Amino acid sequence: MQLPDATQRFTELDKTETAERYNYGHFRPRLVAGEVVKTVGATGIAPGERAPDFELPMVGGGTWRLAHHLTPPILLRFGSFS
Amino acid sequence: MAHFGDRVRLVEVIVRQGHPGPDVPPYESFEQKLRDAYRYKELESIPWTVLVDDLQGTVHQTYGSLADPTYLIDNDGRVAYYNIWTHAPTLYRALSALLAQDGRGVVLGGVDRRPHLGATLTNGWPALRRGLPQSAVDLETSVPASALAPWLGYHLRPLLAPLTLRERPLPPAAKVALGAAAVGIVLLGLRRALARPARPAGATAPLQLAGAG
Repeated sequence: MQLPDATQRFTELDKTETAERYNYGHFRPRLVAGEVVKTVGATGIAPGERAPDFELPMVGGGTWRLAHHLTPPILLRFGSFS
Repeated sequence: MAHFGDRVRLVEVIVRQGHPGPDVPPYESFEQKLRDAYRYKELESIPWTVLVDDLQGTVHQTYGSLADPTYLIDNDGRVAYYNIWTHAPTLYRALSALLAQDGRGVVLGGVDRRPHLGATLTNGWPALRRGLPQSAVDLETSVPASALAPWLGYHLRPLLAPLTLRERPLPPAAKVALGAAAVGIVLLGLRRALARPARPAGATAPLQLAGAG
């Protein structure tokens, strides 16, 4: 099976959730079901695949780009304020 | 991950509100998200780098949009390990394995799908509390006891933390001891349940008899 590369992943983003739907107003059972499905399917970047590059604003000022910080290895965590 | 010092870089991306509520409504602007990221870093005294995703969660969605994942990315910029539900002891093992192979390549089979909820159970309440009362009502109506459990776990933190918030994997002997204790508790419960004499059919409860007399 051929995995999509990072560029393809980003160009396909318009097929994913809109900002309004992504930022849901209530935590609902459908979200729990979605998490289960995504966990079983290991939705995300597969092991061995190149991690898509990104550049984001950093708390404290400035921006941080993945491609500029590949050594040492990175633990990249996704978390929420609530 | 203090053990690894500067041999690893920890970076966290702040995503959407996981459990919205009156004081933490769903984001309508990037500025709201940025403000929460600053509050998060300050309130939780976070020493690592904290980044802020855009309003649509572009990076989060690209990386799978799960609730609590951590990726280990190797020196070539490839995914060495995907811990779908962040679990420090598992990441400790993965990182140790990666450093042992010169910081490159897939480790431990590459992906861990196990729902590690111990840390959330013990440490998830402060985040959930920010969205009260809606966050708890939404959770309880989605998965019963899923708000009560972190509340209880947070208050039992001193008891649970050595197990649920540990950084390193448990030694095999400790796993065996915990397994044996769990089996012992189950067996004890079964024994007590089976030893209780069954009430004959049609018998009246003793309390009602006392009240009638």
